[in-house]
Amino acid sequence: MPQAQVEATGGTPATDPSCPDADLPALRRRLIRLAVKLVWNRDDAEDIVQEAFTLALNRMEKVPADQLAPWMWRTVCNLCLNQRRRRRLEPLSPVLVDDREIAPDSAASQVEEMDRIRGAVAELPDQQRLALVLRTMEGLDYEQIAAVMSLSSSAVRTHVHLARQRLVERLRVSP
Amino acid sequence: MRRDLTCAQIRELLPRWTDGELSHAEQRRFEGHLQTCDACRSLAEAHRRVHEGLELLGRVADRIADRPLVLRPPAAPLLRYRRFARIAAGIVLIAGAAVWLATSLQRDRHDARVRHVGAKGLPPSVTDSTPNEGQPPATAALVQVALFDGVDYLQTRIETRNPHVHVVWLYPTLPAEPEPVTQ
Repeated sequence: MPQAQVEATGGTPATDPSCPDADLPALRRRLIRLAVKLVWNRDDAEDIVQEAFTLALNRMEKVPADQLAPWMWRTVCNLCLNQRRRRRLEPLSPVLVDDREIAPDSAASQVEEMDRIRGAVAELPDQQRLALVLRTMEGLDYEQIAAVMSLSSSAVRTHVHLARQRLVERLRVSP
Repeated sequence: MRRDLTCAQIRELLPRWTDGELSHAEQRRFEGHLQTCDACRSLAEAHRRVHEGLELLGRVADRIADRPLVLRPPAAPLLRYRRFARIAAGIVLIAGAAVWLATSLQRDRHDARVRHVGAKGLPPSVTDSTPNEGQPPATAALVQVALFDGVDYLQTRIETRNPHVHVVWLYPTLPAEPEPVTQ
């Protein structure tokens, strides 16, 4: 992972899925961020992370302490993929309009562009979508993504590349 | 001097270029090719735009996740049941309207029956079996009337406060014969 991305995402131990010493509040905050990127609903994200912690508590004997963080990341990803199929995307406009990174005069076009990208990401196959979100939005490196997705690093690279290609094709042809 | 990259090589390097993983030399050769190839430049620009859009989307998602939750204060005890009160009021209104409608239809049916008798233009022999000397009942009454049109002999009971029913009292003559047929 590029160092800039580590710093941008607040490179605490909780941000590293393979780190055994992740403190739970930081891990929870990071998992909620991840869940929001996959389900795009704050309440659902909170529920999913809570459910993941409940599952971890119930299976404490089966989940070694040094595997808690990656297990939680994997569980949240799976719960999000299941949840995502049941709900349509909510409008993004109110959040983006308040965004300080967006100039007011270009806010409308930016909101439209963001919604197009988000819609295109939502239509990707699950593995590609998950790999792309973990790589581009979460800033994990390919080894970390491979650990979360239980895949090889090269397979993750392939998923990310295919996802990008699909997005480029989709966003190029769409008006 | 190294030769320029081909378009196929550019496509192979594109994922690493997007991730910022190219070495300095690779980066220079990659961008050198983009300056001479419109197709590759367009493709790389599309990848860059998608990548930047995804990064911005990620930051927006982080802000959604980091927003403090707005906790609403608990509603006052009476307001807490406001929704149920509205539903109950609606049910009472609907039930009242249904009762009123049913009563109204029932009254109209009695009226229609009595008006029908009058509309035949027959000299119906109408009487009542109540011992009130042919006077209409002042209040709600169970009126026993008998109607005879020369062929059939009908007997009915009317329970009403409706003043229209009083029309049957305009013909207080007792039917003579035949014998009443009980239905």
